[in-house]
Amino acid sequence: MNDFTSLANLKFIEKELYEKGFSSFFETDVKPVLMPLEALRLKKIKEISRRKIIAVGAVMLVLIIEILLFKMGFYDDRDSDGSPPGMFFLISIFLGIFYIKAPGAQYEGEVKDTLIPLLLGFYGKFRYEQKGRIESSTLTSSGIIGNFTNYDSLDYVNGNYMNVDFKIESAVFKTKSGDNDLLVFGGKVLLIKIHKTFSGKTVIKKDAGSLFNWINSRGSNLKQIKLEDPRFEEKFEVYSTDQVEARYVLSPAFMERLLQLAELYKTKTVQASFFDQNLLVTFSNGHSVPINIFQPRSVKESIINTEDIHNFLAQINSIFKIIETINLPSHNAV
Amino acid sequence: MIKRKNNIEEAWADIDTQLKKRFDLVPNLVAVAKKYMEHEKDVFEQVTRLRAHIKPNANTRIKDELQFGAAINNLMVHVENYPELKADKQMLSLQKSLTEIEEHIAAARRFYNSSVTDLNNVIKIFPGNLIAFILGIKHKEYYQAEKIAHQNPKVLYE
Repeated sequence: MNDFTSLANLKFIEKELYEKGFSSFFETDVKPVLMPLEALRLKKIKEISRRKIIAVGAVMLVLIIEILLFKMGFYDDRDSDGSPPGMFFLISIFLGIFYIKAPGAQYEGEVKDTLIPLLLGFYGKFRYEQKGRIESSTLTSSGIIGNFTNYDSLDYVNGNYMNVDFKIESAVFKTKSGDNDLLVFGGKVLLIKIHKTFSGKTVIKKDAGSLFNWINSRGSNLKQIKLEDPRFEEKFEVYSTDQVEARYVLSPAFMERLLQLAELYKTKTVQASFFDQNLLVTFSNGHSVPINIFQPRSVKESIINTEDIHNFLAQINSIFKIIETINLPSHNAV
Repeated sequence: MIKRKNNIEEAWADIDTQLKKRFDLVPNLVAVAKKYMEHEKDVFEQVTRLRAHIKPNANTRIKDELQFGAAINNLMVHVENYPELKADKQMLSLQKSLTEIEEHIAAARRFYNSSVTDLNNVIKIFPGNLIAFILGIKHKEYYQAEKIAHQNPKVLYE
């Protein structure tokens, strides 16, 4: 069966509640873009095969040169701080792998750029940029992301869901320490626009134990806030410039929702901050490179299937799930 | 101990600001509601009477404000029975303001009660009780909305 026939026979079976009504959208909007993507995939596979031959040839050449240099005693006369034997060979292997993998990465990028905005369009008006980002100044003001010098982002989505204006991305923040880059934060960052201005700042951090909580509150204008809910106090520590505003934003219902969110993302550290007109929620995963929010399947597998689409819809709806759990009412009061 | 006492005063000042806002808002609320709720005289009388009863420096201020709050809640429950009133633009705006104020009161009350707990715990045991006696600091009353809110508002004024 050729690709055209298999595409014509392809049917989207709605399995989840959030997929309701998607099968007709799949027929009218998604199917037409799958064939060009499949053509691109096949082209990239050919390119990968060609690059494999070139890369293996180049690596072998470097290896032969290295052996010859070694035999000729080139490495014997060198200072101890010179490059050790085999160094060029290792470098050539890394470069070769990068050279071979590049077309696959380009294809995955193209799939995301084509399919994610299209699929997001099924749920409303959203903007997707692979390399888009939330403004650094906003993140710095939040008080939950430490000072950073490097900011790398991936899979930025901006839009409105359930009357909530939001921006989300996968991000990594690093800071320079001598010659090294230290990881400040790695994970998902969600910024929600609140339609009221906070006069102060309220920061909800992971509970770090009495001593560290006390240390954290030193040297800043944020005061430690004790709340009534022992479950919340066990999980989080709250600091604020305004005792009353902190309790205003952290109503018992909102504390419950944050606990639910922490339960939903058990493996990640959930923290939040209310400041200016924003609510920033971070989900730290400790990775030093941004992890895809939307992950297409490998270039080796055909795009003429519905599995990818199911996966993308699930990934999109995991974002919506966060906003639903936070459950800000339409007027955005917390 | 002085810091704890100051916290209570600071918290009370926040509550007081919001209570004043509510005090000023209620006459407008009653005026708009009266246009539609002609047969709810008792409800309006209750709100108006309790509002007039509030004196800023009275010892019974907390109790009076809680009773006033319960009467406002009672009025809002009756508003639910009048769809035209519920849809009135002015009423919607006043309701939104009232909700906002009540949320602020709730937040300020939580800060107040937390500060009262802090102080009361300290002055219960030695040497806090001795220092409190010397400084003339006394056990403080909680601002407990629940006690009043769970009662039937009508019973309160019989």
